[in-house]
Amino acid sequence: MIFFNKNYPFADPLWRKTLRAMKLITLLIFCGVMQMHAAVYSQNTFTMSESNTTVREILKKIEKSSNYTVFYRNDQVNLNNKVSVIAENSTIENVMKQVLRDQPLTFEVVDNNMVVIKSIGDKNALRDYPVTGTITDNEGEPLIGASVLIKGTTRGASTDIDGKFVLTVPGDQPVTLVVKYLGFADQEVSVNSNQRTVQVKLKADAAALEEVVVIGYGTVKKRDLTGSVASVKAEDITRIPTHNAAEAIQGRVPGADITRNSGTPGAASTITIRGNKSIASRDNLAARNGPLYVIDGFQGGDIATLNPNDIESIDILKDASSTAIYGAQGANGVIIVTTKKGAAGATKVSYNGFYGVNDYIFPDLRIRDSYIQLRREAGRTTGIWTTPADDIKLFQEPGEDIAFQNNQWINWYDLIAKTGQQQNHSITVNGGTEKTKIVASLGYFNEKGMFRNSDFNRYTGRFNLDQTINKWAKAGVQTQITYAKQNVRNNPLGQAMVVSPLGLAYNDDGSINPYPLQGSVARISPLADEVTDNTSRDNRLNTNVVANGYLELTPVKGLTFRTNLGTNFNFGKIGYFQDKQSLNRYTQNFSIARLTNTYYRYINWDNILTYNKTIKDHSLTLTGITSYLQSDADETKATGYRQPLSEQLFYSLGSTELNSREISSAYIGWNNMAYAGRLNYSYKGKYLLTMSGRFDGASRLSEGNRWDFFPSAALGWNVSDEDFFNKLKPTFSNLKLRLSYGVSGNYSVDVYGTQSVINPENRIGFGDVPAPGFIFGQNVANTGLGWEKSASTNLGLDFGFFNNRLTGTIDVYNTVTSDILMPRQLPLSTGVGVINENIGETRNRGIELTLNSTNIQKKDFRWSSMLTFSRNKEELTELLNGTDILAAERNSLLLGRPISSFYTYKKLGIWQTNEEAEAAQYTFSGTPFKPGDIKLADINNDGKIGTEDLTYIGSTVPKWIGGFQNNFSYKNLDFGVFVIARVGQTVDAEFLGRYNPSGLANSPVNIDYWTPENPTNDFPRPRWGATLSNYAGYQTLNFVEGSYFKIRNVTLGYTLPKRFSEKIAAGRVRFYATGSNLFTFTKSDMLKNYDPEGPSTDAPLSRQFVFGVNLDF
Amino acid sequence: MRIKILIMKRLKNLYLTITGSLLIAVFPACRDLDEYNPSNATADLVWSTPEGFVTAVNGAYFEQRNWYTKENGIFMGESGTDLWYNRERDGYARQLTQYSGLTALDGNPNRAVWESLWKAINLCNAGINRINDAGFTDQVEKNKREGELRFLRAFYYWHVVETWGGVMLRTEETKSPVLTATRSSVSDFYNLIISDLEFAAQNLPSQQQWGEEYSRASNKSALGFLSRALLSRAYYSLEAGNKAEADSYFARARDVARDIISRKAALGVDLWATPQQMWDPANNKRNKEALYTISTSSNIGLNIEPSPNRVFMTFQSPYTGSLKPAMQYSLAYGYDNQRRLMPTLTLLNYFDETIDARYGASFQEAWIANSTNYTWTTASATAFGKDPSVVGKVITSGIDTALYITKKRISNKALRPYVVIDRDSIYNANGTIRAGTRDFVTLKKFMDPMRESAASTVGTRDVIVMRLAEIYLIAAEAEFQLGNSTGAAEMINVLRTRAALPGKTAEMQVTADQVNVDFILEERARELCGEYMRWFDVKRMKYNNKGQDFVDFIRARNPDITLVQPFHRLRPIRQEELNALLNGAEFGQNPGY
Repeated sequence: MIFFNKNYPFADPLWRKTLRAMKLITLLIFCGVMQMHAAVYSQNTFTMSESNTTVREILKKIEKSSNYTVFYRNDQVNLNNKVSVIAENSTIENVMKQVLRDQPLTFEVVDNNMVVIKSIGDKNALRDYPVTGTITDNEGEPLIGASVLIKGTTRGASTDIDGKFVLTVPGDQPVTLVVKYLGFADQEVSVNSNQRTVQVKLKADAAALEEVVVIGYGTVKKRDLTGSVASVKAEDITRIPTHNAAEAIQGRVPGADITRNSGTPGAASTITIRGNKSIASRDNLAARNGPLYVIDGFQGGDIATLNPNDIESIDILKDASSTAIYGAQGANGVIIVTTKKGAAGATKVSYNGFYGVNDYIFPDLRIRDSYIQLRREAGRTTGIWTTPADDIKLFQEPGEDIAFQNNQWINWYDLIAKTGQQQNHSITVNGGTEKTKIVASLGYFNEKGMFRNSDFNRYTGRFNLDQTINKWAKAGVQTQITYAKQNVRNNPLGQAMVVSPLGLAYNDDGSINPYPLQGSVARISPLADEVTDNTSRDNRLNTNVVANGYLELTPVKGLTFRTNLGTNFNFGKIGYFQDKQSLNRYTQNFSIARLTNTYYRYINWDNILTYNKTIKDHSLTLTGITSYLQSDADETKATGYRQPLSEQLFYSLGSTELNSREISSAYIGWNNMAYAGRLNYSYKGKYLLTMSGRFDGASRLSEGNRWDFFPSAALGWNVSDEDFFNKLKPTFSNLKLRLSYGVSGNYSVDVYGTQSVINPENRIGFGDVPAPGFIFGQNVANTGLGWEKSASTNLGLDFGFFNNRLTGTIDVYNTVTSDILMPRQLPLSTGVGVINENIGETRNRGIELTLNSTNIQKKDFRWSSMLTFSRNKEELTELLNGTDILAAERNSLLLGRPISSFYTYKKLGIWQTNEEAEAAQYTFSGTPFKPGDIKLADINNDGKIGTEDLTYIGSTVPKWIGGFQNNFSYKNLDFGVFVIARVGQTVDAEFLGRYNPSGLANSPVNIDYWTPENPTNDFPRPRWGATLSNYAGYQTLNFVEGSYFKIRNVTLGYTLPKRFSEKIAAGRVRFYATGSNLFTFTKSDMLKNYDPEGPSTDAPLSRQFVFGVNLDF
Repeated sequence: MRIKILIMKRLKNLYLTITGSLLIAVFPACRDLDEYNPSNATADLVWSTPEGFVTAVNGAYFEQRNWYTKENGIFMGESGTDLWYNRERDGYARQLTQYSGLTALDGNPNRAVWESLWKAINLCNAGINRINDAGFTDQVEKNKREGELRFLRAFYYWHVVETWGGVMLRTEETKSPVLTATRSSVSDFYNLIISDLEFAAQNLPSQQQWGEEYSRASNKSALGFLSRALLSRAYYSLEAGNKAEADSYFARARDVARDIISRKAALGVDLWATPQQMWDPANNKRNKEALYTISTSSNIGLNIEPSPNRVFMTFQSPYTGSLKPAMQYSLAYGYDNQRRLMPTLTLLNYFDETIDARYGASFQEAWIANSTNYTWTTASATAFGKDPSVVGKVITSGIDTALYITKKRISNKALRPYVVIDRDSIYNANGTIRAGTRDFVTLKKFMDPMRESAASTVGTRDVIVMRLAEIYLIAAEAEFQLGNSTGAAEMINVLRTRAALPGKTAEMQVTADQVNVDFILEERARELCGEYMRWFDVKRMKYNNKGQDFVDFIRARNPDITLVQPFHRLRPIRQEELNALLNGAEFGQNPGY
């Protein structure tokens, strides 16, 4: 093992101390016993006169002036030996002879490296010799951090920023060096004491196909893959600075539709792979159709708890042949996350950090003239306003008139929102020997939201160890602790849209005025929760401990047995306090205090037996697994009201009003068991076959139906390996065909979804006497409930052109999900809610395309692109009785449409003045339409707008999504632009429903309403006294064409040249600036200044600017 | 040799590994996949003892508050009639207030109560059918609990059949999916309702016997609802042309009503001496006139929602703001931010307030200044259209009237040194509501000055679902329909005597020849307006001409309602119900929807 110890050019002792401390930590962690010191010289001849000076001192003095890098081993050189050196324009040989005079040492100079080595008195005796070299890629670009090992030993080195390494070979023996670099093929090179300099060009092209892809319970080479798997590597994951890696892979995985749920700090993302298959209500749809996460081989983790910098790769399994091995849980795709593993060789310490600011993308609210005008228009419509003299009739709410006359306006948006901040710091230490490999990391992420008292902090610690015990046994652990602290602000923006912009937000003394309109107690200020620190708290703490261990035995070549024990413990606490003058409580005027504690235990025990055998051209891998999952969750919740002191928050529930207290303690538990087997067979590496089968059992299904079998099969053909293909090469360099079919299961019902239960109901009393009751729960038992099944066919094509400068993948698939576990709504007259049944069928068909190309590759300039495209058609093909299930506009299930569809009136526009006669021919519930009303489609052409005219008007499911990444590098500069598009979906834009046609509330300014002078087709004419629901067909106004394309990310990076980075003891130093969500172009004008990715009004998405640094030591 | 040892060693390893892995692999299989569910309970377990069974009975009361303490009950029971219209002519719940857009998919109170009533009925059915398995040894106790459940089932079913007509009549607990339904006749519903109420009347204890649990159903509750059910039932016979059958129900309704009146002391119920006393918020709890009450607890944990009994907000006119000098929010004057309904001119005109104390007891017209004193200036006089003579006059807080909203026509508005909003400011000559009208005469029956603060939406008062005055009106209506107008007048005069202002008793009396259907309806409005009954009264008494009488009555008296149709005497069945029924098409929506 070799360590570098350099002299630092900085005089600042603090800086030096810090670096030393870091070195010390490194040493302690890796128990290093040897050190090699290097010094940098600035000239090649020396003049010096030293007497009785230590070797260390002299070396230091020499160090200050040379191009040489000097290496020596601590255990061989006595640095305290005192010597005298006299030199006048002497060579290095002359000086060094004097320095090493009293010791059995000699030295060698290779290039700019000077290596001190042991000299054996006997000239014929064996002695150490140094080897130096340069590792580059095919194009001659240096590879930084490549590892060079002496074969069969643990001795090695890694390359510096110029791709150079130095290594001492013990004894005068010829050895073989093994050169490794991620993404390139390993290469071996022989050296001996005469051949001490090597130039190694690693082959990238060949290596790309040898890339290893993580599949369920194993890995395969990419060329042997038969299923549809997409991979995202570390550098792309950290390209977008975020707390959640799921967000970072948005647009990079064809077939995965990823959206961020809201702009709240720490908010999660929704991932749907190849469409929704299971039917559920809109709120539940994402959860029911969410993929399975497998983190380091362990099922059921949460990607949100991971520090994105810890992730080595994310592999997304999409087709049934890849996911079938996970049976039950794989029906909606599997996301396999692999965290970074230790590597033998030099210790690498890296620091990644960023700091950024966020601001909202949200339309302005009406104020002053714009606000007054809307009210006047409303009054004008009903005839109570003709001139400003009539304003008094419109501004009658308490305090409005005074504020209006005094011109007291409030821009609530400015007062509520501030610039948010994000910062992330993470340190990773990676190292080890051939036997022991370690990665340890610490991470901190902090986001301050755009509302005060809204923030998210996450601390992560990770320690991964892989230990080779002996030739046939290996063990390891992966542990992680995540602690997250989140403060949630109770929607001030929503309140801002229902209050008036008139009044005084602050009192004369600067304190917040809870009721901005004098004399009005009906509408509290959106800032009410900021009046004191204790007015409103929603504090969420979460501690997640993951401790996974494995033992792997390889008793004979080719046979591996591995047992994985994964545990996941989660402790959550939510402290909730709302004072009586908080937004949440002011209408009730008493406080609420609540504490919720959750304790979640999860165990995953998998046993995997793998047998690998190659006989001539036949290569065979057999895998057998057992998998057991057990989950238990407790939740204890205690609530009390009317706590006398708000300062006590949720820490004194005992002081709440005795009779008001509510307590509950719920338990939810389930388990699963599975047995599965898989066969991978390859003939000559050209013809590939994969088959798998899995018996799956789930406790939550009904007795007798808990077990089922799920098979899959896949074929692959590496066409380009055929002889006839050779004449197409290198223009057409790679072609592979894949075909797979498989069935996977799903048990997406709630735990206890097959049981009839009664629930306690304590909110019953006679007078003041409590009368606890039991009432029926939602479910009626279904004793025959079984598995939901998704059968999926996938046809894939992988290709490469121009020596694989352009590579790509196309997949087409068809997934039919049948026996869908659907909560069947029972007739309400039965008095119970639903029964879960295996009814219904969905189909998802689609095509996915990925293209990767290296457009320009020069020594200094490189341009590469990545394009993803996916189109998925999701449709309900069968329901209950073959008829649509009609309900309110958001809950209807329509055959031939996606699950999450909108069913309401179809808006054609607004009735215009010149259409008065035509409008009057249509009636709604007997009332004729008139100009300014919403123009609705009369689907059945009967002149009456009614229930028969409700129709499908769109879905949240996009027609297609795409991502386009372009990376440019010029010398030390790199530049990336990432664009995503999501097209064809309809958004439920809640904020458009905030249009207040009386003008009483503070609705968004971009709501363009109709007046006789403004013939818009957006929103109906204002009307005094009316709310939006007074307009025929108002339900349709929320739904808008939501297509958008977004500059998701622009990054500009600069890597310090070696001569600077070396001075601060770093291997690689990169600074970057990133802008996220920079511009969004929406198809609909109504969504201007709004990010339609997150249709939430409460917490819109933000635009971010981030500055960061990557440092490797 | 070395090789042999190596092979031996490998084989040993292999053997160990395979054995070990088999052991490990097989072990989890022994784990069963049963569901463990300690947090939830099953009906069979909980309701198998008398003590546990009470939780079913208690649970059966739960949903009644979805109708009566929320807005649902007011919209379902009062709006869409001659008495009320949306304040500011807005469209809140317009499906029910104006018959505008009332469909199977719109009109939320109608949709919400369809669900909650059936939940309650299922629970009642479960209790009634399981009571024999609950292990009761005390027959009286058992009958008492069964009486409660049967009272509640009848109570819920009366709301169902009157609102939606002859829909499905379910008497069994839903234990497995029930996916079809057949319609039952209205008389089948009433047979069940009447027999349940008769059982309840015989087996329920008196209110006094319930002690602190005074809002449980008692014998007087059952009798009161029995008389109401019999009266309602009779009209279906009239509508079918079966006068004899109708008379038998009228006679029974009369007999039950008169029985209650004659035994009122024993039943623990009596009329208050004056209407003011009846509606004094201080007399609200354990109100002696109440036959059935839904209580609101001061213990907020026992109420259905954090804001229980919201009816105090429903009829409240605004009384503060830019045009209301010297007025500020106060507990005494109420909370106006969720005002929904204003009275029609018709309702106000039903009263002769010069002799009838019920107008003053039911409505608020004057507001005394409660903020800082206000002095009229030349500018403010001009702004309010006042005569210059008011300039300099002071509205003194606590003493002077600051706001006067009245059914009267005030000719000298300009001379009065306070804000006057008279009938012409509120209503047009034809009785419709003027555009831009914001203020109205406030129904003050449900005022709740016991709340924690003026801005609190947390009501504290009980809902009086039925009171003795209605029994007199039921008796009067039954007598009238039986041809005994004298008896009817006699019953009505009991209430009118009580309602007479001092010295006006004689003027308040009615004679037999004055009693007719419209008079009874008007008298019911004077006595019961706002009390969750008007829509049922109008649909009941204006049954004739296939609903055209219902339409004519409402349109004539509430000219803002223009969309009411004969079929609106029934409300639409929620669409999800028909969707979920396998025979939904055959079952069919109510006609007209």
